Amino acid sequence: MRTAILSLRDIVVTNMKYFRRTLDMARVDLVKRYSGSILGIFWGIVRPMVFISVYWFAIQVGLRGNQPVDGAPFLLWFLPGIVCWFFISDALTIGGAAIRANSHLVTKMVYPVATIPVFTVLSLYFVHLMLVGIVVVIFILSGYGLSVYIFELFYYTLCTLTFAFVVSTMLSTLTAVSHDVGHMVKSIMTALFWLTPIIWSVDTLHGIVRYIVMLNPVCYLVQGYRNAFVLERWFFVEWEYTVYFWVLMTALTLFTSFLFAKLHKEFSDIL
Amino acid sequence: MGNAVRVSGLTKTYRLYESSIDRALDVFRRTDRSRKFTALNNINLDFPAGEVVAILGKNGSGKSTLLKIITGVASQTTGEVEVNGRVSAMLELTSGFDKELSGEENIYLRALAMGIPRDEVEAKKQEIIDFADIGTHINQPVRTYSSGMKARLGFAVSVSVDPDILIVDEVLAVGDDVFKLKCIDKMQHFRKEGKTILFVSHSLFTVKAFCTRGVWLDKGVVMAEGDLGDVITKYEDFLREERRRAKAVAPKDEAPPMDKSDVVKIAGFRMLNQAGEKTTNFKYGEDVLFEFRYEVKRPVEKLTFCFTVRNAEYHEVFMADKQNPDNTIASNVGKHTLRVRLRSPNLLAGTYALSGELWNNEAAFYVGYSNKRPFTIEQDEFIGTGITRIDYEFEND
Repeated sequence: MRTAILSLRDIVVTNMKYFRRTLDMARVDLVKRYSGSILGIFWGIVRPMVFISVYWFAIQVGLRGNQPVDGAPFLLWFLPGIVCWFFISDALTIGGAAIRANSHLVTKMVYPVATIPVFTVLSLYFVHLMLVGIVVVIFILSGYGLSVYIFELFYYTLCTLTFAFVVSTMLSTLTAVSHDVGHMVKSIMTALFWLTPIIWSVDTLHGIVRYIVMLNPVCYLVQGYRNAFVLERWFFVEWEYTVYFWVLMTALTLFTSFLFAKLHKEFSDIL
Repeated sequence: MGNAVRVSGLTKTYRLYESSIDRALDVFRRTDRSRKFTALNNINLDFPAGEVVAILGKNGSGKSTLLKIITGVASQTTGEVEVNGRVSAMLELTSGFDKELSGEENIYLRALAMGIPRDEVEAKKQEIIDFADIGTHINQPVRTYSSGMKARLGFAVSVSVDPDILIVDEVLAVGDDVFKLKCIDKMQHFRKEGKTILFVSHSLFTVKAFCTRGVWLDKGVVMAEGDLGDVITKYEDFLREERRRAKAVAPKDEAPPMDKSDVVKIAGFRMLNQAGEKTTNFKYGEDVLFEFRYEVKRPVEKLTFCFTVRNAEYHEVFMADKQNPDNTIASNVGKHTLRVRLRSPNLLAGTYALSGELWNNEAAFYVGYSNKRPFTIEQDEFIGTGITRIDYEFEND
């Protein structure tokens, strides 16, 4: 416990000290990810858009599941959740491999390792914010409109960012040590997608199953994006769930700090 | 003058695991399941400021580990490292370059990773580009660069930070001679400015020309340190001894299941003059002959012969085409003799060396019949200097 708290302090202090460099690295990371392509960063938006269109076609036209959900047209109900998921999915796979992907910073240079997952997640977050902006525009153009609950988005995007920082640091610490963890993350992504109420509503579940599904922190975030756009629920109204999420985040943060403290000195020996 | 770097009681132990998942699981275990490997064992060293220190040792002696710990990339298991001044480490010149970005963008990228503020890069950019000397390629993606160009760019960025202590780990091995000269020149410049350089190179030639002090590491222990001359003498003695022992042991050690001589056996190589007498002295302009017996013991598809003539410094004078089908020789099982006549090779007086092999290109199999066998050419009248005589004529109006 003591190790975890001290290490958490180190990680936070390091990140504050190098924050400017981290921002620059995030920008460069973004440029690098799409370098050599003509559309550049727009691929970061095109790819999810294509994905959304295909899902929408399959469900609305193919499966004829055109019923409004929670009083909103399916597409509009679906958009906030899937956009949240795209970011989480990238944060887990790309962010979760950040240290290994930037191994040259660890083994060939003196670079603050604790900021590597942070700048990777930040570069993904830029794209995410653009997508959220597009969703807002779609809501306005569709005539469905926005309500005062949209301000909740500030809270939920911050929750998602925190989640992404913590989990990507944890996973990239583990993937740096063991390739198996990286493969494991990739293979459970599909399961996580279907087990999280992204294209189905958690309200269709009842009893114990509903609570088991809600244990998944990603469920809290996806539901949260929906609260802001269509469900019109305040996060402090569902306060038990909010408390659960933050307790879980605290535990994960301490666990991550503990792992990092134990393993980060060995990164340069392993990578 | 004080010490630029002081290392005391430094030990580095690597933890090795059978499987990588064990390393992760060990975090939660009370027991440590790793095997230990000690790369550095209680090292005490002072690196005085203003010296160029060569770090010598075989592969795996702990040189790179030591440099990485001094740099701060790796962390020691126990012991102290005290560094006075700004360190720039060249552990690898081209790592971290993004292939798709241009050379100029990569300057920023690398400088950013090294923590150099943007305005400082801006000020140094022209200097970096000039030193790298890659012309208009600077605006092209780095993937189009040759390895030498990449190395030059990497070196240019690394030295641009104006370090007090420069750490160079075997990076001059890449790149061409021009690049090497340029780097050595730059490092000489640093030396004159009183900066400290820690230098790892397998080229003893470069080390002798450039370094002032030496440290010799073997198996993680300091074997010798001090003036370069003393250290290098001890190290070279050690290498010679090592080679001698390796030679003595080698025949017993490596007995491959099937030797080349089980396929083709060569015997009785000799060189002959025009008269057919055995000799290694030839007159200028005279034919040079050599012959040998070979016995094909197992069926070989096709054998060709080739030969190489080198001068005294072992620079190639001529090598016959290894794939020339005209050089095909008998390859049926049995004993054969091959006699080759080099028709009046216009070699000038001097010592030359003849090498040659029999080849089977399909199987990439070869067996040598002569390895740099020396022969001399004598000449009575002086007709010019060099290796070979070039026939010439002239017109004069």
